Amino acid sequence: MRYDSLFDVIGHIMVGPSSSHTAGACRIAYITRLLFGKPIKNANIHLHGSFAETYQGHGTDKALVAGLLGIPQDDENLRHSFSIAKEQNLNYNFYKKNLGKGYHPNSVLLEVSDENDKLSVIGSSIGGGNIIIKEIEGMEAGFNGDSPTLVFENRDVKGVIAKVTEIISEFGLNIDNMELSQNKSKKVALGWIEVEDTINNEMIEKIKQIKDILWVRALNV
Amino acid sequence: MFESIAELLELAEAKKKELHEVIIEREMESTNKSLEKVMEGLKKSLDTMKQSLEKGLKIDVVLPIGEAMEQSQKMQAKPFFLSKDIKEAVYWAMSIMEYNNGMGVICAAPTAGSCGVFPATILKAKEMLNKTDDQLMHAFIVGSAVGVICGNRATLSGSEAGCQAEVGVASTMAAVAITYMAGGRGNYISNAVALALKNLLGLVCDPVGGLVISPCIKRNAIGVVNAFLAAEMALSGVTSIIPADEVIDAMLEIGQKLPTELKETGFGGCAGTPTGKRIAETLYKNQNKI
Repeated sequence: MRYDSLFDVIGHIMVGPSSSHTAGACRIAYITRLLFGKPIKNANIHLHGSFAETYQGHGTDKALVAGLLGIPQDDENLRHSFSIAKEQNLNYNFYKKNLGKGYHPNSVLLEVSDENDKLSVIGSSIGGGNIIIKEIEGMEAGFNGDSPTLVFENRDVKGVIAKVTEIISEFGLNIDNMELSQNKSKKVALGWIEVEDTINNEMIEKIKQIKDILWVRALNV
Repeated sequence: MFESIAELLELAEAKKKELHEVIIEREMESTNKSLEKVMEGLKKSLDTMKQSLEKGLKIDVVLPIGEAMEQSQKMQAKPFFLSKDIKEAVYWAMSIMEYNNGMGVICAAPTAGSCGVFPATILKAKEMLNKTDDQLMHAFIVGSAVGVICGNRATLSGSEAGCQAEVGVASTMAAVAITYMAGGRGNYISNAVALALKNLLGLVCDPVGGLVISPCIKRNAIGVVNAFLAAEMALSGVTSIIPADEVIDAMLEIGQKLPTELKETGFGGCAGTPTGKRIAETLYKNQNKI
């Protein structure tokens, strides 16, 4: 890893004890909560590899539930997440699951839902509190949410992406990175676009209006 | 940011500026942040460190390894060999690590598993030398920059190079910071780096049950004592034959040669002893079944 800033070394403020098993786990769940876009009612938490082995000693379980509640990795409330989940009616269950060889040992599959919607996300905690969102709804992803990121699912038809990027430039934002992945059998696609500056609500509302966009979220974390 | 200790010292020399000044300038250049924003962030990290110490001294935490509990308080006993201050600094570092294990809010420096060393050492040195908050901040900046250089030349990850990259680097950051705080400049700084890190080269990462408890909490103690020792030696004029940057490179080379069992996997070293294995087994047995 390249260290370009003092804050790469002394800027990680987090609830202990482990940057990978506590802070990183919380962040994966926190981003999942943002992607879901509203309070989560039910969560099936599938722990893979090292996460499944040592989840309790590192508080990985509490960290994941905290993230799903929207509690960030540097919030003291993280350790009380189980009782907060009770207050906020979040039901959760933990399972051990081998996701397969291609996944980092610190990975988790989160299946979250409420009465109307559901979402599945796989994330990996790759060290030092850094994470990567690997899959959304079974489609390959590959962002970490460190810079403002626009994430959306759309029907896999021509011209959707062009309309999205048009709106982004209309709002004067520079695109740093843009990637797409498809689910050919379901004819849907996942897109994530990392931009230079904070994404505002107005822009999100405008993108929602595009025909064939199924959902869109802004990660400004 | 910086690739070598030599580069950092030469830059300060060329610009006729203090080390902390050139570091802040470079931080602003490489992150495109204003001075205000940078200082605000630094203050937040330093404040978090202070709070983790205050809370760590107050709160008794429950640890998943019972044998490892309530060890820090014992360091409040009257000293036999260490000075009162150094013993207290060790007590502080262990308390911060216990607080970390109790899911308290800490600032990694450079990692969570080594988060006691840097704050305990620099906060104690500030008290011992009767320095101002600004002087503490300047030392904090210089120590942190040395962490960046260790990261760029080698690594800050126990899984890549063992504990020398965590407590070893934390101790080096601390040694440099307090050397700077005491007035050391130029060669005194590079000697502090070399002397501190050399003493901890080869330190393995062998956590019992894979947790950041044993031997991690007590290993933070050697990080503190070694920092004071290296700073004392450097400030007394002891020089390192091997230059600082080469010592950092040696750390990486040693790390690459260490077997995986000794790099955070929880299999070798202390973790692999009969007692280490027994504790790990009990840990997993007591874990809620999923």
